[in-house]
Amino acid sequence: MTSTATRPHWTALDVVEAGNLLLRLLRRGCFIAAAPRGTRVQPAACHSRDYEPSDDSYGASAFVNERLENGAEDLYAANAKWREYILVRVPVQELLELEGLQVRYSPQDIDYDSLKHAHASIIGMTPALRNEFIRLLDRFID
Amino acid sequence: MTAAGTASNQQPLLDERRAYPSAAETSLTEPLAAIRQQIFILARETAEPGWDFERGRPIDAQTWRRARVFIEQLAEEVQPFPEPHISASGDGYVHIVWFRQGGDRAVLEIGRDCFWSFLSGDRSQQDREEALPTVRDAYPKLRSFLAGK
Repeated sequence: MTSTATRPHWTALDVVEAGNLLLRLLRRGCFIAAAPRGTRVQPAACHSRDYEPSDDSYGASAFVNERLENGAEDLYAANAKWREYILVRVPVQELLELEGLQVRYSPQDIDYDSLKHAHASIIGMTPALRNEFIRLLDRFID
Repeated sequence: MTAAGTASNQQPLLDERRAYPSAAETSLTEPLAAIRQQIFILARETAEPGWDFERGRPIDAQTWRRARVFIEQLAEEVQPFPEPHISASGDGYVHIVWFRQGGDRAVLEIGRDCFWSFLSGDRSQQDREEALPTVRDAYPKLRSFLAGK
């Protein structure tokens, strides 16, 4: 992806620091509660093939908890349907331990003004990292 | 990111006769009927851009049909029928997942192209992935997976 007037190259986006907590919405159709732990989150939970930032998406979406005054409630205030999703809280540090992934602020990738300041993208996903990512999500679901 | 469920309900999202069989075709086993119903629902949910919360690519009726036909043929060729988990990915792929003992997973992704993946349940083996020339090439791989190989 090249930079445009409204979409800078992803390397120009601010880094989300490792001490933060990410909120990731997980569609229920990608979760099998009865499966063994570690295998409950399915690969469809994360884009598998569009690893490269594109003209309308830098990567997998998440929210930085520290930037949300009321935490997850701010997400639900923006879109009540998100209550139907499973909310997964993942420390950024854990994500960064998956070599190759980066977490950057990306207000360009969300349509809700009230959430732009807290929106982040997980950049650098590959199929192999996707598999590790879904295992990581699984660890943080009760 | 766009709101989930923003697709218009004012017009048909797909040709339902193509994506889902008529009642007359239902000489089905119960699991297969349930899978057809699930595919029908997923096809409706994923027909428009932005269907997920991440600017998801739409999945067209033809892609869902390919997935349905694959599963129907699987039900004819492999007994007992290995019932899969079906879901959709925001990058426009249908995901069909099978489990076996130990939590190992096989994943068939059908979309613009086709991929086969193995995810080790206990990490005793390496995950693997390969592109398949056609969806049909997944049959021998699935048989091998279900046989524990």
